[in-house]
Amino acid sequence: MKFWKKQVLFTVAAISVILGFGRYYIVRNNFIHSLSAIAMQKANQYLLEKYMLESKVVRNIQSGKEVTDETLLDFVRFPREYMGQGSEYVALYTEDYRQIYSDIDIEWLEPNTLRDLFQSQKERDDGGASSDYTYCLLRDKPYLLFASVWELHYRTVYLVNAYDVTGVFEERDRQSRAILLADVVILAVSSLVISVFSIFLTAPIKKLNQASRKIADGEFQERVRIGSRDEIGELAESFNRMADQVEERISDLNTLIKQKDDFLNGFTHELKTPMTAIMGYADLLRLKNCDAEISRKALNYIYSDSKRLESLAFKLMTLMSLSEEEMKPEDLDVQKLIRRVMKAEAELLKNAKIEAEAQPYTVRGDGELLESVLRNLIENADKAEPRDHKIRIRGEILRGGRYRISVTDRGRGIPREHLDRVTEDFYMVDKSRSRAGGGSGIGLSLVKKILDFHGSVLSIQSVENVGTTVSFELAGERAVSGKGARPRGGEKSSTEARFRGREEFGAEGEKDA
Amino acid sequence: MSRILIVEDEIAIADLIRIELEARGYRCEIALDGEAGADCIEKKQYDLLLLDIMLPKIDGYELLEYNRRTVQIPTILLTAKSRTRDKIEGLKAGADDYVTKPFEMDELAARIEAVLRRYHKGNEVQKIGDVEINVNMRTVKKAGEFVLLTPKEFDLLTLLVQNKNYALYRETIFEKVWGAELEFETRTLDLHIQRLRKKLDWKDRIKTVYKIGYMLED
Repeated sequence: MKFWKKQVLFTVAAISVILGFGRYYIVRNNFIHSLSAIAMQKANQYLLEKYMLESKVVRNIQSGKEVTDETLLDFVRFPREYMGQGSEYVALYTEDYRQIYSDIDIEWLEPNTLRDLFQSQKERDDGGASSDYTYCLLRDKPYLLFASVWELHYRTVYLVNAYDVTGVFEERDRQSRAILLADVVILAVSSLVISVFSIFLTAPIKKLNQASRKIADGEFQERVRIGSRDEIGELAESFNRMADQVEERISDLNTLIKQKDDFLNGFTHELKTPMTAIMGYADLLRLKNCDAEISRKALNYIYSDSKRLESLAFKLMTLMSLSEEEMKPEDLDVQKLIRRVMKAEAELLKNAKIEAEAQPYTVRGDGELLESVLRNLIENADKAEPRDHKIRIRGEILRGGRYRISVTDRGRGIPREHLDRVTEDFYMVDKSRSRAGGGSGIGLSLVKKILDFHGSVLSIQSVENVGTTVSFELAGERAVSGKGARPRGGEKSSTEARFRGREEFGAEGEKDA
Repeated sequence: MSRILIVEDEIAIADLIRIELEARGYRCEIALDGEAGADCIEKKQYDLLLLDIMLPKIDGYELLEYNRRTVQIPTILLTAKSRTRDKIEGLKAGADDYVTKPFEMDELAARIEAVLRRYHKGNEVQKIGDVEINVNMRTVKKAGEFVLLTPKEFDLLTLLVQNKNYALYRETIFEKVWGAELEFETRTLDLHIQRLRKKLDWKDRIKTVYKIGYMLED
């Protein structure tokens, strides 16, 4: 059962019980009140009537007439029949409860009841002067009964006066019906009002319910909009906060899954392609005695694809073993670092030579990792086939004590639409060309990760067919030199001590080393 | 002779497939990216398309869709993606078969044959001299008469025929016919070669190559 229905049901039940009690109390009170009022009125009437009767009897006796039943009867009947006065019904009984007269054509009362009535009256011994009364249901009508014991000087007569009080009872029933009707109307109206109110109150709960159901079905972007500031409003707010959290986590998870998926896809592709070639050519060679040309081709393919696998394996291993904990930060002389890298790369580069110009500085970082960053960037620059056959490395001190290293080439550049993605795992702008250069698409992801550990980001500026500049910043401090004591003159001294290397490594550079 | 278009951006793999398939009697052409592939499909006629999915410029699925809507050349997808979902996607997109890298050339050749057979374009019956070999039915006729061969003899014959005019190494022949689990026995191989020569009267055609193994001459 819906909450609002429950609420309506319980409230209506409670109201109807209260109304029932109220009705009972009001009707009963009214009834008792009007009954006692009418009883008082009737009692007075009765006393008057009785007094009149008595005075008649006394006059009769005084005039010396005997008081017979007939005389009594006349006395009783006279005012009623000729004057229309007196009680509605009158009955007279002799001492032995024989009926002398009765208005009604049936025996009203059981003789036993009558006897009890008079007996109690007699015992009170006030001669029936009091207005004591009782009720009786006669022929389905309520009556007010007054019984009096009438002591005449030589005989006793019982007199019963009855007054019809149906009106009071009818009034009671009428009132009861009227109030009942009013109650029904009140109940109907109130249940309607409560329903509307309840539905209005529970509407936000319904909204919340719908929203949570949607979220349960996977629509994590669902939110509830409830403006109220009550408890339900607060609940909605916390609900939304919860939904935010859930959505965020889910989207994080999805991103993670997608990254993993992409990585796996790229990885399998990078792994399986050279493997297919190696296996295929090896199989060819071991089955057939091929001619020299095909054999050479096959062996070349096998060799180059094995190299590719090796480089992939090496880079992957570096990438996977990379962790912030294992990083060994040390103070590094930038110039030495660059020189080391130039030496190592010199013989590997196919298209360009390196030119370096770096201000002396000491940076903090893991030497080996930073070396690998630089080598990756240099190799990328080389693959871009610079038109002037030069790769420029610049190192400069920035305001705030940071140091920027940039690698620039005037090569083919990166198309704008690929710029954002080049650091993704296995992402290659031009597969066949990267392949030809032995690339696996993992170099820049490695670079990015290493720089991440150094609290640095890789920034890439590139214009297609113009060139590319890749740079990153490192934290560090001015190189300690003899003139280091001059704080303001630092700039100048650094210019003096500028790394004037401009050494050109390459084929000749190798000889120098 | 069936013409096959190889659309594969890895020159090494494309070359390998071409070498192997040409040895098996197919005519091959290579397209190194999706665009070149589309051009070839437009201009020339092929019996079969070998299609890599991860291609530069136009990717394999797009090319597949293009092919399906136009010339409808039977297609086998070549890809590193080995998940069932990818296979289903490929087959739904209209490919006839799906080969995942790394694959063995024998398997690729068998699948090519199967697809071509389905389109009745395959080299179902190969003729060498007066000998007819039906790969489908695994029957051999010489001068119109059936020759009874054991299964191993038939496999050996097919291997020789597929690589005719190449000297094949003994060990590799044995491995391909009898499987890698068995230890190489030159006697078994030699015996089967002798029986083949006798049954087909190919004393001259199946040559013994010194220090290498055997070769079927066309």
